[in-house]
Amino acid sequence: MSPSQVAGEHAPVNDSEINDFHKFDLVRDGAGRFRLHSSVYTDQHIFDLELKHVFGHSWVFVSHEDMIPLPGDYVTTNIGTQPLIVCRDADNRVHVLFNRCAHRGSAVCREERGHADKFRCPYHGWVFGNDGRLIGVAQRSGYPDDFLEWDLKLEEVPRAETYRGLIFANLDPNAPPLLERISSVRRYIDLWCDRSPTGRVALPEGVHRYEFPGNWKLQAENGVDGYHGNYVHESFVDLLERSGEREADDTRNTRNTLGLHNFAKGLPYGDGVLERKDGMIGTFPYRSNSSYCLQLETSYGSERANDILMQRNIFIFPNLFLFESHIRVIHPVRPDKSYIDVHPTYLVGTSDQLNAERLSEHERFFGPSGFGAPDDIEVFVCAQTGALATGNPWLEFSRGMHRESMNELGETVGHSTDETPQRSLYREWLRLMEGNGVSPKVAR
Amino acid sequence: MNPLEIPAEILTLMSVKSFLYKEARLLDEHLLDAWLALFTDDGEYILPIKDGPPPEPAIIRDSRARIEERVYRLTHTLAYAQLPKSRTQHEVTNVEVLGWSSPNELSVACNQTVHELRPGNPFQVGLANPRSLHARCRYQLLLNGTDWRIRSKRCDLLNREYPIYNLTFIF
Ligand code: FES
Ligand SMILES: [Fe+2]
Repeated sequence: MSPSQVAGEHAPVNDSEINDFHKFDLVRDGAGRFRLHSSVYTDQHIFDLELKHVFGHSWVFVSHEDMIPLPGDYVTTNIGTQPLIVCRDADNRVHVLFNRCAHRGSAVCREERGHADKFRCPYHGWVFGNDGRLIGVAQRSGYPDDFLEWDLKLEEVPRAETYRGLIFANLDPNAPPLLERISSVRRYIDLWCDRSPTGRVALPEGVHRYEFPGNWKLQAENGVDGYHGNYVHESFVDLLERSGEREADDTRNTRNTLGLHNFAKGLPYGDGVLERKDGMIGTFPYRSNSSYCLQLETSYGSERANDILMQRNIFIFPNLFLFESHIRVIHPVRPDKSYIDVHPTYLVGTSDQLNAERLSEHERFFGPSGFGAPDDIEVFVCAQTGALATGNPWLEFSRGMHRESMNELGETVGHSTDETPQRSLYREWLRLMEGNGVSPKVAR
Repeated sequence: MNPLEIPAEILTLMSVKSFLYKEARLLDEHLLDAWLALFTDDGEYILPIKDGPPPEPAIIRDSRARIEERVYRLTHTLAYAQLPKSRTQHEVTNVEVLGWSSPNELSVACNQTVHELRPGNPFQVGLANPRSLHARCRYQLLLNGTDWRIRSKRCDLLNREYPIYNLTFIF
């Protein structure tokens, strides 16, 4: 390995391993049924391959520009299990760096968030700028004169691009541009950002964070699952009735009825959208706030304002959700351990009162002590338990397969309780796991 | 009345301690309606993440009405995250009377550790697994005749800004 070789480059993919993955027979897709093998939740080898093939070749959300608004600001995060620093240099450029000293590999930054123009390695004191450059080496005379040509630095993740404040990074240097990747889901990102009349959301410092002893994909599936609400969230449905906000039967029926604006969509690249005019629970009643609606109409016109006000959960494969109240990021830790970061947003350009009321409604449902989200986590854990039973190891993701159709945008559209987005997710997952990420399959 | 001439501060401290122990017992015995009745009508219950008002989020930022809703959820609805219900054991230590913030409102600091376990088949993920959660707490207690009412209970969890699994029992 030459000293200048990119540190973030994955180990060369081995062809026999790719062929093996076909033999695993984990996804059965066809003849009106879609099934997934439970070992995708439990198997360490599959998890390791996910880090390599899924997280190694996807545009992964790493941060939001509002978390590092000023030159020198940084956050530390991860792609899969790899530690990163996302920072803004003196020239206001965003860098996504591996948090790994070029000397003997120590992490150089232990804080989660802060402000610094340099990172000093705790081990032997090498100093790096927040653009990654090596700017200081202790006892320099121990290295030869051509030392600088070794080109040691905090390595950049090969690709980093931003869309409307969302910072994505890709470990694959040959990945297509972000805009190409998000060409289908982009209209939903725009609609989500435009919930602010200025088109900008901001993030407070605090984050609702969960840990759960289950597989990361359980959360990925669930955020666009419109089938579970009446059951997992029975408690919340009852709370809405108790408070006089909505009768339980009305909540349940709205979500089940066919013919209303009530869709689950599967998009290219594994993305998905759950979309309802009404009946998403744990959601602030925007449509009854006339001054907010007027603001949106003024900014965007009434037709687009109406589209913006649709209730949507937007999944951007593999680890990002945009919910109306928050950004949700999934972090795989082990096959049976995951972290979820829920960043509440506030809508720039609307009133503090509206943002406070939105947050209060968010806090009611989400967070580790909320009245809704912990019940989701509980069923993830139930599913993690059930996955260990092998009588019938298959998970049924077939719901609505017989009634979904393709729309003019190339989206597969089912009823909001259908498993259309989950099929989209796992088709992309399988495509990547079989080694069809964009880089050549052979060793570089 | 006070034949041993115990100083008033000590009597206050003892009375606050016994009140906090009672609160802990009510929670550990799942007597949530009785726990709720400890709060004043303007009572609040807060588990912050960072300091600061909205838009800074909190893990819990309950008004009295929201505390009632929390208790109702745990006592009257099918809340899967509490099925099975957590068994808890609250420990209250380092109780310190910080002073009277008005003639009948006392500021109190203490530390609390809650040992928690959800009973059930120990082979199943998430069950029969004892955990401990820790917090530094602040109470504003209102003197109500000879007893106290909680005007504010704030618990700063040790791990408040880090990932937390199932915190749906009452801390
Ligand atoms: S490992 Fe960083 S200076 Fe040695
Ligand atoms: Fe849910």
